[in-house]
Amino acid sequence: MRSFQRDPSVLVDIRLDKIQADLKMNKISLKFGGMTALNKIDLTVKTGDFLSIIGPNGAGKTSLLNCITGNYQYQGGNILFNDKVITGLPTHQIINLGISRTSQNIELFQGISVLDNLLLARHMHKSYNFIEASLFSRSVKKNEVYHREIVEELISFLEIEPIRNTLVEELSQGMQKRVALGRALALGPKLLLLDEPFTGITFEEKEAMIRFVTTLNEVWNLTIILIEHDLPVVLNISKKIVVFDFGVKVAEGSPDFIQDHPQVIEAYLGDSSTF
Amino acid sequence: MSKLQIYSCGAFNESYIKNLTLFTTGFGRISLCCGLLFLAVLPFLCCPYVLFLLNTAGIYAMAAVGLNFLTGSTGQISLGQGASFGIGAYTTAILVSKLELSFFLAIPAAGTLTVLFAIGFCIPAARLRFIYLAFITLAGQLIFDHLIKWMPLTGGQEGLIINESSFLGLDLNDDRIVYYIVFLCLVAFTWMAVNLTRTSYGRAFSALRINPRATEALGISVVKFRMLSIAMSSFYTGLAGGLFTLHMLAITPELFNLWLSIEFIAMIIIGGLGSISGSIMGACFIVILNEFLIFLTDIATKNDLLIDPALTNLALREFSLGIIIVLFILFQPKGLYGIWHNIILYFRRWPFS
Ligand SMILES: Nc1ncnc2c1ncn2[C@@H]1O[C@H](COP(=O)(O)OP(=O)(O)O)[C@@H](O)[C@H]1O
Ligand SMILES: [Mg+2]
Repeated sequence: MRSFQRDPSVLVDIRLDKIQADLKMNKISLKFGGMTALNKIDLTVKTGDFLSIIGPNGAGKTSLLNCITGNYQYQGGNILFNDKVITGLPTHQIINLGISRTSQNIELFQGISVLDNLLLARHMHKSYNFIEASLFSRSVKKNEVYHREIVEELISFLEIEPIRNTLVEELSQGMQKRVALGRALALGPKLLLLDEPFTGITFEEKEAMIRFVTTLNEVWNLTIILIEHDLPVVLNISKKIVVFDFGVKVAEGSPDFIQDHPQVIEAYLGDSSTF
Repeated sequence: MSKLQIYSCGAFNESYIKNLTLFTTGFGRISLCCGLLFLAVLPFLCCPYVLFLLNTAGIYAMAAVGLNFLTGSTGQISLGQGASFGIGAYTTAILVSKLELSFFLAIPAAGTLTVLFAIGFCIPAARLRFIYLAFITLAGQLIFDHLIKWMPLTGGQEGLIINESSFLGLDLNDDRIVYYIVFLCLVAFTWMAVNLTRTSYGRAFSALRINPRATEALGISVVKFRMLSIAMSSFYTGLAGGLFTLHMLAITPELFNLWLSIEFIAMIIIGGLGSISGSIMGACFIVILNEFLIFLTDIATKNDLLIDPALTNLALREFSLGIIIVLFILFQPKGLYGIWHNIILYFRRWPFS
């Protein structure tokens, strides 16, 4: 029996600097009816970056992620990923290019196990077709085992071995967020988008999550865009921070710069109740 | 290899490849073989009447397994399975009686044509929410119901009669031959359905039912998978329709109306949504129920128990199917499969159950 106290292979390539992940957003504008959710947003992310987006509720942070993954059709501007225009592509094609995300409200598949949730993310990497699958040929078996091993590596990386056969709805919020992170990683992403992974979970779960996310960026060099409310955490772990308010980019810079930015201090640090 | 041994503390797999096998212990495999062997000798044990019912049940079971892909796995509802079944049956009948093709070629061709019809008809619905598929298939069913009564090609109200009655040299008037053809097809296609459910495709189908948006976010095209499930189910149903022609050797329009679509849905609900073995049990259940009701109407009319003209067999069928579906949904939502599963669990846990 093989144990998986080894490096997750979905991440190995990234550390060896084989993976390019440059995202460039040019003047993204998004309107819902008469309301402007995003107003001419410019944003650049380079390979290996750890960019955090902060801002009050309703600032348009989630909408921005939805624009990147093609869930929302924006009215103006375009987005390039690795110099390829991804504007207008359907979501599944954008995901296939190597962008994966977790969602603010988790969106795991209820009623199936953690393991199946993770295996589902391997679907786009399977090497067999429909006919082979219905005959369950030897190559199908081999491929299924291969993906199971990859998923097991991630399970041991995220320390969720005891719950691999548990139904996801039986897990705590924090564990669900961890499984969701695992599912996003199982897609084999080049760029990882995390929507509030530390919100609404217990202190211990949060500590572990922060450890995983920082490891992913610092050890494995995975490019990450993080949305989070917890300002001290964000200031500590990110390399670059963007501040949003009412769909506009208010400030952008290193954590030190943001910490001293007058508008940020006024909006967030001065009044802690907004968090 | 799995050995024949009693696992007193429960059976545990020690490799990922073992997790992919259907049976954890050798006993499962042996009981499957025994079951298949029993089914293989069954035509020599039962009377012609029962054999005829078995053939019908096997054919319906195949269509039900197909519908289960659509409704049980991906959660879409089709009210046009009767029409799919009918397209398969009529295509086979036309190919065999008018073009003098052999059944061996006509039935797969019928399956393929059914898929083309279904896809052409359902493309607009696949881009929309699930509910639209129910309505567009209902529309398809209604169009089909009347079109086959009007067209000369399909023989109008009288339907079609097939004079050719051999399959690769075998005599189709012998119900045993039909039985073996149906039996082999059902086993092969059930096996393929089981295989699909344990691969990435099966997982993606269920994911589609649970949360389409999240499925799309895993790089799986929702539209493509909806079409795939529609194609799958109509292929199974079309083939079953072709086998139905081979079984009956004469078909008429009213065999494939909306009522058949409803019966197919009843089969998978009574059998247990999402379960392949349940679909087969459901098909058998409906066939037995129908025979039982015919028997009941006979008795009732002979003994003047009820006002004669009001109690037609069809009315009784609709009435009792309605009652039975309500009872199943209320008391046994997992269907016959659920009951079977509970029985198995009881014995497995005995004496602690
Ligand atoms: N699908 C939608 N339809 C209409 N309005 C929306 C939709 N999604 C987001 N919005 C609006 O856009 C604004 C930004 O929302 P969101 O991006 O979720 O904010 P954040 O994630 O920063 O809290 C909010 O005012 C919200 O009401
Ligand atoms: Mg949000």
